[in-house]
Amino acid sequence: MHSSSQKLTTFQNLVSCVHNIQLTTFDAQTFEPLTDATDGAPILYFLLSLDNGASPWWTPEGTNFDRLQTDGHFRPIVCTNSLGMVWISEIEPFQGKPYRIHVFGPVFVSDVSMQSVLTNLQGRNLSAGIRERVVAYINDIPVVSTIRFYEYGLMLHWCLTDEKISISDLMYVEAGNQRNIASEGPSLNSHGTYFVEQKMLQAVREGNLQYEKQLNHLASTGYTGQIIAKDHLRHVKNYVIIHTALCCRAAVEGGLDIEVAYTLSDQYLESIEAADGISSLHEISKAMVRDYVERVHRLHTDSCISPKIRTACELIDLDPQRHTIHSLAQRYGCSDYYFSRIFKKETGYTVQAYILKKKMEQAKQLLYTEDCSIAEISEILGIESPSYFSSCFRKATGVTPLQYRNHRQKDQ
Amino acid sequence: MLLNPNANYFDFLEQISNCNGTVLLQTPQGDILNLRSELCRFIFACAATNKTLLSGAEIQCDFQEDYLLLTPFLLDDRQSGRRETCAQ
Repeated sequence: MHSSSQKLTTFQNLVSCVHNIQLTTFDAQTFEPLTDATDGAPILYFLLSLDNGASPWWTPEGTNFDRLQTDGHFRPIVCTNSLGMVWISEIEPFQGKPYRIHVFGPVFVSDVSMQSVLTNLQGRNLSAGIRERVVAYINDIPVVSTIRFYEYGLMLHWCLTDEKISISDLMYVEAGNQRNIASEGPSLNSHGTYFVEQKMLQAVREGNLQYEKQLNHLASTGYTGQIIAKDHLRHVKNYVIIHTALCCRAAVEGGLDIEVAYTLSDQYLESIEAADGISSLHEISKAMVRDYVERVHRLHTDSCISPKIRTACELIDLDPQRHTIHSLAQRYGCSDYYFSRIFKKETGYTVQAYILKKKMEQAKQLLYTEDCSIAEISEILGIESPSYFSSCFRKATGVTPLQYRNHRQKDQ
Repeated sequence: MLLNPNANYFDFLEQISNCNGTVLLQTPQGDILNLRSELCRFIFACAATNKTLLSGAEIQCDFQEDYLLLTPFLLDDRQSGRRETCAQ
């Protein structure tokens, strides 16, 4: 078994392959830096107290370790200051008591924060010596995406405690008397991020399956607002909601049917609101972009099916209970007979068979993930008779709904 | 009053948070930092890592009582050879 010091060294070496993020260790009692004396440690010490008034450490009340524990365990603490710098503090316990404090950072989670500090410096008539020192320090602070930085925090926590936690376990310290640095100088220039965001939306519009490269770039430089909010989960939800709205509109511009795009958006918004952790929001966001990009991509590449029928299929896919031959035919201004004929010709399925197929797929999902009875599932799917539902399910899958549920549970 | 080059700058910044008025630091090179501002405190922190940058820096407070709070970090009249100047 490796000691925490060995693990920390490995951790630092691994992180240094990608980012030059400082890891400074302080004594938990005296707050003296224990790592090799570098210029960074004392500056960091100042930074830690910037927003906290008279407090020497990061809590507004001083160093009250008890309030930094959850269920008797210290959690990584995400801290920020009004200059937009973020760091993670990790308390290393020894025999249940705080022994050392490791401070990982600072980093900027947005190039905008970094630029705003540099812009504010330009507005001051600093002498060459001081300016050089400050600019050198700022330029050494890496810009890291929020999620990646949090992930580093999880790894650091494991190195010190052998405990695996998730992003939702991180604690956030709200800076006291937080003030926006923009009030001290010219307004923030976020155009750099705007262009990156536009690139990503363009990928959605074009159905460009290589979009992840743009998305990664956005994650590493994009401005997602202040990291510290009273409710951090709410803040991230708001961000993902805006992201969904933008992608939805970009997909419409790329040719996706408005109703399909908006129905999809509604479904994602529902999932976003229901999400209880930041990592799940991250997953939803990724899935949402992928979904829109792939749909637009199919529109541009699948030439066997006309746009009208493809849209009809997508509407059924999104909500099989809601659509009938008549509602779809009406939507496209043709007779039920004509619509059914074209649908069958292009997809190989009758409209009813296609709807039933989608309902059965949904039934599988419900049987697997929900605890509802067969009658309830039948009702959710808009099939009046549970026995008819069971019979259809058996035809489609070869087993009864209950057998399917039991098999899946056993497999699990 | 001049900032004592041997003062503990961590404690100094902490004490400034207790001051009621503006606290300005002026270096001989002409830098003027309002130590109640977050950005200026950060600049001070960077500069403090090289004591020569803050050598001869002068502190000016709005209120007389703030000088009293900061006394442990300042050179007195005899040490500095200067007379204290109150901005108010």
